[in-house]
Amino acid sequence: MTVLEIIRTFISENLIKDHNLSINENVQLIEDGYLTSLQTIELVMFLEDRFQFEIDPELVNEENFRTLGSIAELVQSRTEVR
Amino acid sequence: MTNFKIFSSEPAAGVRISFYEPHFFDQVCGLYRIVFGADAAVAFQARWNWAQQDNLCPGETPKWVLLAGERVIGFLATIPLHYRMVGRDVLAHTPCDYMVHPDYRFHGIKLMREFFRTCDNCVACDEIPATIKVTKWLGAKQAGVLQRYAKVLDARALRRGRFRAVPDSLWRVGTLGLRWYDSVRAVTSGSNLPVETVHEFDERSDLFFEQVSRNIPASVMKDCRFLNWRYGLGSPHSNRGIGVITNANGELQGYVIFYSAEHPPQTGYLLDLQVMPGVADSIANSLLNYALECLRRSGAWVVQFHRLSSPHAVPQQILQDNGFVARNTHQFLVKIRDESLREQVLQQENWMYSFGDSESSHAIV
Repeated sequence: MTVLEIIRTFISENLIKDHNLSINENVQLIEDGYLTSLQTIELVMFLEDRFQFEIDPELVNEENFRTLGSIAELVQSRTEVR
Repeated sequence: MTNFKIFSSEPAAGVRISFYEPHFFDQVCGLYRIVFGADAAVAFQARWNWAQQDNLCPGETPKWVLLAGERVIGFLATIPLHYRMVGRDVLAHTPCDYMVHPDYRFHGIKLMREFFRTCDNCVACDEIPATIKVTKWLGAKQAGVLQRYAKVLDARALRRGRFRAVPDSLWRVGTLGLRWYDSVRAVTSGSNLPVETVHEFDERSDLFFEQVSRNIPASVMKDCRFLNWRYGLGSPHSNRGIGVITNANGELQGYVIFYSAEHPPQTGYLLDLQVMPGVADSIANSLLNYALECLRRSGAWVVQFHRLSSPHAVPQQILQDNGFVARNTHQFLVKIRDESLREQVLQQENWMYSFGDSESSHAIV
């Protein structure tokens, strides 16, 4: 599974809870109301746990959480830093 | 506290955070109505001056709005309070009236993040999972749990489901039975010590707090000034009742503060009940009985008490003996910048903390 697929699976199974909903890489997660602040925190906690790094609160912003693609980029950039 | 930011923004998003200014007030009230409903918005407006302008540290009361263009789509206020922590005076803030328009819920994080950037120390009591999660993620730790207890005074409070068909006369008998039980218990348990009704706190409560806090590592600075603000004119609970017990020298041995909500269902709240460490259980029992009787007379059907599980709180056994039943909980969250204080203030057995000390109690009307 790629990073993107892992994130997509978590969001559709745990946050949106609609397995039939197809979230592609470019769906606007914030603008279209998929992510509330609570769901974002749940996602952050999942990412930290799954990929073993800490996300600074400053990085939890619209730019990094706009789409599945931008979240995957954030994860990849953080894991590369290590 | 660190310096307040006058303005910070994340322009890429179109939603930005700004320091609150008075001209936002109407929009903030409008948002409160959308998020919490019309009645809650009226209560919010009524307590605004008391909470935000006439509190004990008005110059240390930051608050922020979230703006989408010029439209207010989020708000977070604070309540600053002085705490006595391990013998030191520490100013800590409580985030309160936290709200975000339903269409912008992702952006709620910005408000809480700004709060934690600005305020060095945070003490909060909450039962809303989303708020608890965000607060914890930003660094607050759970220091304890406030267990809510409830006691039925009027049997009609149980009229639901298949009991709806039970005639009024039987409910009256049930209510008389509950009252009779409390009266008998008061006599047999020696819980009928004389309780003095007072209308405001005086220097006796300063002395009481000084003596109590010698044995307690962490507490709100509950002196006369605090108590007269928290339960005084302008407070949402200014029509509370207060009962005190004194010793032969006129020194306070304990006090109880209670409030009967104005809106149905008729619920009474024990906002604070403190006794001097080491005194007999009859002091706490008598204060409890006094408050219950006053609340019963004021028409309360149910009484609620929130207890932080600590040796400095009213013993759980006293509540159980008086017919209180455990319900849900609030989480007690603390974040303290000074590392030398952290270990002690993150243990609930070190706290003396009442529901009336918390921002959660402010919305009760």
